[in-house]
Amino acid sequence: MLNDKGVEEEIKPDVKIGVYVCSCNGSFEKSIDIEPIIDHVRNFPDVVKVEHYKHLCEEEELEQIKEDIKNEIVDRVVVAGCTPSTHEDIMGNILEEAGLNRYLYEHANIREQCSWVHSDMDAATEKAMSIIAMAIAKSRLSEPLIGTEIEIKPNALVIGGGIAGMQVSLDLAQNGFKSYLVEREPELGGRTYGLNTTYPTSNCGICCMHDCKNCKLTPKIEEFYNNPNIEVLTNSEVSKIDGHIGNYAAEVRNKIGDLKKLYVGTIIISTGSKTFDPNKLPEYGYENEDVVTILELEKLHNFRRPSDGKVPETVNFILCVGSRSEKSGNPHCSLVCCNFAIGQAREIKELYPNTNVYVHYMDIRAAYQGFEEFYAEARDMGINFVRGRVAKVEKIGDKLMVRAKDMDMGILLKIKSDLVVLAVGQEPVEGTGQLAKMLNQELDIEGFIKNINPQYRSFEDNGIYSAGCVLGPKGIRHSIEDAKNAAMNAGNLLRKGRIRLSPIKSRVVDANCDGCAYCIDPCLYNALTLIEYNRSGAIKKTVERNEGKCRGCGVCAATCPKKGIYVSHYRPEQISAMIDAALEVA
Amino acid sequence: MKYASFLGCTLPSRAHNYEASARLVGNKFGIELVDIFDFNCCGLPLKSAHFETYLAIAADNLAIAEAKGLPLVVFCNGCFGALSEANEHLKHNAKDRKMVNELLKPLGKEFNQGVKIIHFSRVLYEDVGIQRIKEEIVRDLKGIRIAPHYGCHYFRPGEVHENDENPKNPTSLDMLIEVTGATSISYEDMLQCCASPVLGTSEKIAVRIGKKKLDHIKAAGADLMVIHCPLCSIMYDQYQPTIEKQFNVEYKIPVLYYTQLLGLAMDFDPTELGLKKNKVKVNDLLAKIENIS
Amino acid sequence: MTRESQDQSNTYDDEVLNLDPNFKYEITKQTGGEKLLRCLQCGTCAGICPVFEVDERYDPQKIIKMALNGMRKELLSSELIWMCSTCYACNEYCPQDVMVADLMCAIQNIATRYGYPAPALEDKIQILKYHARTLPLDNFDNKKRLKLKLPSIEEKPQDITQIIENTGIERILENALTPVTNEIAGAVSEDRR
Repeated sequence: MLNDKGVEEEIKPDVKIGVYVCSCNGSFEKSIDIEPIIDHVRNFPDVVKVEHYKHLCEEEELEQIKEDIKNEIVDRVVVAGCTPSTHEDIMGNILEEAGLNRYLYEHANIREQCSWVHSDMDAATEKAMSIIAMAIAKSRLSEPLIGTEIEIKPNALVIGGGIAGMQVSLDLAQNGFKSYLVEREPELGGRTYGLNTTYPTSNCGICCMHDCKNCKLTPKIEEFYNNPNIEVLTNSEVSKIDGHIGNYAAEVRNKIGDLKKLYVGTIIISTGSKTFDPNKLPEYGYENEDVVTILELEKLHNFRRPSDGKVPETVNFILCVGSRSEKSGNPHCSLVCCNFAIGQAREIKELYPNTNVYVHYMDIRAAYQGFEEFYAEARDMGINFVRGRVAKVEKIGDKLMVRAKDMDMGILLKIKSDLVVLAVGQEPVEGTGQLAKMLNQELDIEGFIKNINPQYRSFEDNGIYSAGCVLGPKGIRHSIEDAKNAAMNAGNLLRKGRIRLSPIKSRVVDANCDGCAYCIDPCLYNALTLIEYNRSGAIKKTVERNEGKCRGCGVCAATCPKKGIYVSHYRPEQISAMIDAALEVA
Repeated sequence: MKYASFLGCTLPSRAHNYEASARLVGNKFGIELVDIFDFNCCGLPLKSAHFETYLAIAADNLAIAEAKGLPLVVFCNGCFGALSEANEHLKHNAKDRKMVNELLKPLGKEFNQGVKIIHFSRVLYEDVGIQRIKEEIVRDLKGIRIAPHYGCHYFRPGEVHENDENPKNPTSLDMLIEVTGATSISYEDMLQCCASPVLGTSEKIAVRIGKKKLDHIKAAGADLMVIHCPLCSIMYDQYQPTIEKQFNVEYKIPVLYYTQLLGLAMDFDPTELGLKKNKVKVNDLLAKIENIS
Repeated sequence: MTRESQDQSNTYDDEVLNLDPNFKYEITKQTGGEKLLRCLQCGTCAGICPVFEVDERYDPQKIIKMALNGMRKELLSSELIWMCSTCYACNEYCPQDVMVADLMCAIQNIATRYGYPAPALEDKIQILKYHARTLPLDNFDNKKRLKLKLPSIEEKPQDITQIIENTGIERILENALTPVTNEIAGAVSEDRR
């Protein structure tokens, strides 16, 4: 072990390791022979107990581990079984409940990393043995760790003032937390604010976020400007963000160049999405005046044709414009366009019962409460639903020829239309990638902020949450649900006032560090800085680590040629012991 | 501007008018066409039967051009598409490249890097350039309304052609037409196929497709139709009287190769441009051109 | 698409029709057919198809569906697969990049191997093999060429003859007449034929 002077000291651990092998309800036994492993591991030094459980998830079996700890039979725990992503936290809690530091726990994943991916029983068994041996080797050298407590600044920065961002600020304000709501545009409300009607409720876009019982039919954006807990910064963009959970420093610049510095405990990203640009599909003739998007249709007075103001006799809606297309758009379904277009088709039909309305669809996605009924009513009203993607829209005289296969009939339709409406999908808005990079957020394959399934336990909380369409296409209702969820998470953090950071952080060994600074650039979180200080009359260079920013990823340790920096819980001697153990078994 | 000239099957026997007019106008712009008499069929006719044979026949031609170190100029859209696709396919598919090279080896040929393949109209458009063509226009075709027909393999599939043509909205032929002073008109389903390839399997279907286009062009009020492929010519020129008879309609729409049109604007003799070989009579059109200005 | 075996019934019975679940994989292994399984059945290919426009029996989307369903014999023996005009509009407009025209070519290649070649294929091969072009050139043609000052062209079929002999295209036609085990399809599909 490296002591404070950076000198290697041999340690002779005096530990009692308990190894608990779980076979996930016997499912591993198809590819791993558990019993020989148990027999083999029993002979390992310092291993005092080895047990094979069928389902370690069960209360009874977990209780047994607790008992073993309480009875001082074991003081280190190794579980071999499923993935640490789901079970490391659970096991850590078990240890704590039994009075042991949670970092004295080691997890050997013999499921995803072994049983599920191999079919050769002998080889898989041998590999499982290696994985377990490595965990035991690491466990023998593990030490109790405790994270530092830090203060949480009691306010939030909300980036993006669309419907999601507004809801986040509103919910935080109601819970007594101040937020800064930064919006690039001059107005709050985003795309939603422009919508006169949303479906299937047929209310205006902005109202959706309020309790409709008290709606006075006016947009309530004023409320934001008057709320003492919300500071609205329109015409502004976030130019720089530094810091860590509980203490972020953000620079916000407005259009006239004024700079404002904000210090907040948490950040919510709600920058939204943009709609697909139909110019990318020249076959839909968007250059013609009478071909409009669903958003443009909203703005048309009484749905009259833009070119001559006539009441359209025939209207064709085209769904999935830019969606569900590998080649000329986005592979995803944009979720809201079916319902929105059906709502608009119904309004046209209500206003002009003699107008012939077609909706060309691949599949109608009416998958939400009330939507299927809304769609059924549209059919009852006499709207023609035609299955088949439109191939082409072509201007012929003053009409638009819509050419599409009617798949149910197996015939080609060529419909002379007065108005063509494109149900454009959603895609990531410019700047999402930059913002994600600035805040160390992962993107998904299409460039939205990665939407982590809430079914899974979240990884280390960094005080940054996302809501709304920045996570992927969705409608107002779901954006608001997102926002409420994000506001709750952010509020929970702010309410704590103080939190304990994870103790798994890099540690600088000043004696070994010569200030070469190799580690500084590779650090993804800007957690390291080169500093100089006076040591016995000479200038000593060394690296300083910001505990809040460091996520313990270990890139620095891997870069350092001099053992000048390491990560606690993954100390070099632990790693060496693991490698030795792996080689021994092999 | 020196090119290996690939004539293919139809041009040497059925489209003398195209070949003659192309050579005439090309000569004027300094386009040097190197005749290579070892070129054969492009391979397209066997593509649907046995892809490997198609590739090998195409590669045989491509290897000849590659050895000469010359870009390959093609006149027929069918050959243009087939050779371009084989060229792209062989460039990126090592297994098939090995397969064809094993077949070519005994013939003393090899496909290595592939060649640059260019349609004659693209030579005019890209290498000669609209500006240079303009300088040679002596007879302004102002007031003549022309329906362009691009022909599918001239621009589709977009991936196999190394040029900036938008496969959903090509423009080069329109620009080549407009430089003569004539008006390039748009008409319904302008990018639709001539259906000549279907003539062999179902003449009935093919002529119905051919008729649609002639109907649209007639509705748009064109004086003539301009093409640049001998296969398209079969449908619109050779078959036009058949369609007229079969469906009891009248079109009398002259169908000129672009090089013939350009030749007229450059004041070449109509006979030298092979206009007598066009099936749909062009006399009225020539008279109309004569009366301009 | 022919339904004689169905006795006017609209039911496609797996037993009667010999639905072949492996047919789709046979196609994806053939050059051009690789992207078959990406099809969403949206109908864009048919919507843009010039042949479908005049005769709805030729329906590329339906042909793809037949391939996915494993209607192997029905599809390969259908004369409709030869109606494709190879205009590539379907390739260009397909939102899923299924490369429908190339897919059609793949199906045609498989059909040829199984004894359902394009009409007059054998003649076409013979002309190409011995004249190097689909349209033979003789003195008469060259005389006409001369009138427009075009150089005379001599047929040089030696190389193309060798290529055609060596690629095995002729053997495929000969063998397909009597069912042979095919290197791609495997025995199961063969037995079902």
